[in-house]
Amino acid sequence: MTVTEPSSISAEASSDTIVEVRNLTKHFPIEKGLLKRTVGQVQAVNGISFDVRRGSTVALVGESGCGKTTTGQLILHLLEPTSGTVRFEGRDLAGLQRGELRRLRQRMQIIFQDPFSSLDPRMSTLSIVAEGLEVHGIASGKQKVDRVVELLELVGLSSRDLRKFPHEFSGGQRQRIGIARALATNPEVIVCDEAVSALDVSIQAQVLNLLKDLQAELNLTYLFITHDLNVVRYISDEVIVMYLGEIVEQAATEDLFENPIHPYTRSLFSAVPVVDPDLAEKREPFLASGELPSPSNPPSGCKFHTRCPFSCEAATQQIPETVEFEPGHRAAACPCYTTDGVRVR
Amino acid sequence: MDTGGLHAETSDAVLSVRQLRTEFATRHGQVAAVSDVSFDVRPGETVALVGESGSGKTVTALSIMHLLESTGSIAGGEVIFEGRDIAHLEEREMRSLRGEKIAMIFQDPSTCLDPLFTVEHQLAEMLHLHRDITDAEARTRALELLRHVGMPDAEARLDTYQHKLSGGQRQRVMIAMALALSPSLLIADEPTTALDVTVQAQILDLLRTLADETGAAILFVTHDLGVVAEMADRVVVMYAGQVIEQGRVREVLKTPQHPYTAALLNSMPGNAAMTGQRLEAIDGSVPSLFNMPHACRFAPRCKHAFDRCTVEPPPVHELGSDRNARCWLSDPSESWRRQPAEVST
Ligand SMILES: Nc1ncnc2c1ncn2[C@@H]1O[C@H](COP(=O)(O)OP(=O)(O)OP(=O)(O)O)[C@@H](O)[C@H]1O
Ligand SMILES: Nc1ncnc2c1ncn2[C@@H]1O[C@H](COP(=O)(O)OP(=O)(O)OP(=O)(O)O)[C@@H](O)[C@H]1O
Ligand SMILES: [Mg+2]
Ligand SMILES: [Mg+2]
Repeated sequence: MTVTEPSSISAEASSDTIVEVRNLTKHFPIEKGLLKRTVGQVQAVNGISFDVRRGSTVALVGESGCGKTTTGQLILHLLEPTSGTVRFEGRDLAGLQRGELRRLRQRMQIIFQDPFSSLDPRMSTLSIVAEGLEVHGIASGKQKVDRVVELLELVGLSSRDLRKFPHEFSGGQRQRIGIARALATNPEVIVCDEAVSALDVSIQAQVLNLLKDLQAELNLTYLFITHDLNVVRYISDEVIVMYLGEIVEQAATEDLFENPIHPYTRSLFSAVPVVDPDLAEKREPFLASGELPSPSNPPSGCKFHTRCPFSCEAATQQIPETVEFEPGHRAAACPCYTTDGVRVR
Repeated sequence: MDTGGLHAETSDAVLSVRQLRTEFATRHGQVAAVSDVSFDVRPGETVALVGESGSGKTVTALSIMHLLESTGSIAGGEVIFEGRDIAHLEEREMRSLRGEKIAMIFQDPSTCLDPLFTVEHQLAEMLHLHRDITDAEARTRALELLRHVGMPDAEARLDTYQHKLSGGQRQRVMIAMALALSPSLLIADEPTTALDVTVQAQILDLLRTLADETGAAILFVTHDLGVVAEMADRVVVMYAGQVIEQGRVREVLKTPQHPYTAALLNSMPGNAAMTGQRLEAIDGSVPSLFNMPHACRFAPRCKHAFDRCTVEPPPVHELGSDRNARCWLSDPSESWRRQPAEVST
């Protein structure tokens, strides 16, 4: 068992690391009045570090407002970080020229949550999917149409759908169009921001299967943002649990589900309704109390202490260190459940 | 044969919905959003109404409450509440039933909380409308109610407006309003769908406790089979405007009789993740109200469909007490076609 500082993780970053995030922080100013005086900061993301291996799926989970979307946008460099770095294949995104950044953008794409509002209702399937091809000058004319048909077939649609408009498709089909659009530029990394959250389970299953198949076929890397732990268990290789802008726990998916360590993770798992009536009965309740504090005025010490089922005094003072409890399984070692970095309950 | 649902004694039920049909006038003519829905809710019992988006859950709930939009109306069937058919009750009589005897809570609390009035004002108004009490008594009762629903810092919250409350707190206010007059039936339409899981768990817990204390029956509308397992005694599964299966929660989830229920369970990622299987998506999508298959509505997506399913509408087959399914496979003459159990929970 070793205590790891974020900087020592960087030593582990190996050649198959495609995205490397170090001490990433994003604070949004809260402005007030006509003069836009800054009266505070929303600490959306606060010093997070992790690596994403090529071809893997890393899930970012946590409750509303914990900073998942902000993290995704920082990784795509759609937002400037307040501090910290994002490296893509070892290159710091902050240092790139505009042209370089644009070329890099082709290799990183995003799929949004809402299949209804993320597609322009006045554009045909062809123009929606072809947009990226045109913007990046990848294909035009007949070549472009052929590529779009190829993409549509890849996601289970067909050339018959080229001239249709979004309202002519079901929710699952629209999400497929969003996926085809994201795939148009041959990206290597796709940020899926709640990409299946708005879909009914039967349709969600179609899209999850499709994402898995595409990953196997194209060696895609996914950063999968979701609040649905059942989806996480199905789709991801690794999970990062966030609370108020910080990482509280991080592990391989099965390790996390078999052995959640941090009280927040445990309370999340205990809150997810389970379908199997036998499992539901066996489960011990371990519920967080109250609601999420404001990220502009987060609690001191361990940020979860105001809701923690192990209400503990020590946690209000000192910021817990991250400890690697098992190989690859790290958590913020709050004194409420650890002593000298050893888990006691 | 086809009794349109349960023919168990309706006399002991708080609510008996019988062959309910609700239609909407649209630009393209009259459509039935709900056709042939029958189920009972008995005193103190929680019944879940479950189904995917557009299956008719909300329309069923709104029909019972007489809260349909002006283009919608009950076109057939009965809604028997405490022994009397209220399907065509006058609005004046209905108004005194609502709140007093049947209360409803919604997914989005802002639909029934007024942004211009304080929490106290709204609770008090509700009490004054139905009870002869003084302002001071109303305030005391309002405070009691807020405490009862676990509102943190209840006294201070009395004078707050809804925009200052979190989603979970608004839901608590709405539950307080709904339970203010001790109704015998509470209809809850996806009351936790918009909330984080940890807050959802708190609200579900609250509803369970309050239902136990007050003896109120609950009709719980949800699309989440996990919530069904944790909340309900019995479950009514809807598809395309019809009830396709109903029974005790444990039986329906463990041994679903309708292929749709089984497919829904198999498309849940939580189950597949644990067994390592691929998700079983249901191909295609829910039929449009304007283009309903005329025999079995699920047949075009059903793996087990055979010739009869596409020519003859399946009747509701009674399968012992409290259990039925609208499927030809449940017909004694066709049961030889049934495959061994398909669910992998
Ligand atoms: N542009 C912005 N300006 C100010 N605050 C912002 C901005 N974007 C996000 N925030 C705040 O930062 C915090 C993190 O937001 P973020 O959208 O990353 O959360 P999330 O985990 O994606 O939540 P959800 O599950 O609701 O999508 C929230 O408190 C949010 O209100
Ligand atoms: N005012 C209306 N006019 C016409 N059709 C309507 C109207 N309200 C609902 N419908 C239709 O009735 C059907 C059932 O809708 P309903 O809202 O009951 O679904 P639901 O099961 O509650 O779905 P969800 O899970 O999305 O809330 C849908 O096809 C819907 O489009
Ligand atoms: Mg988000
Ligand atoms: Mg609804």
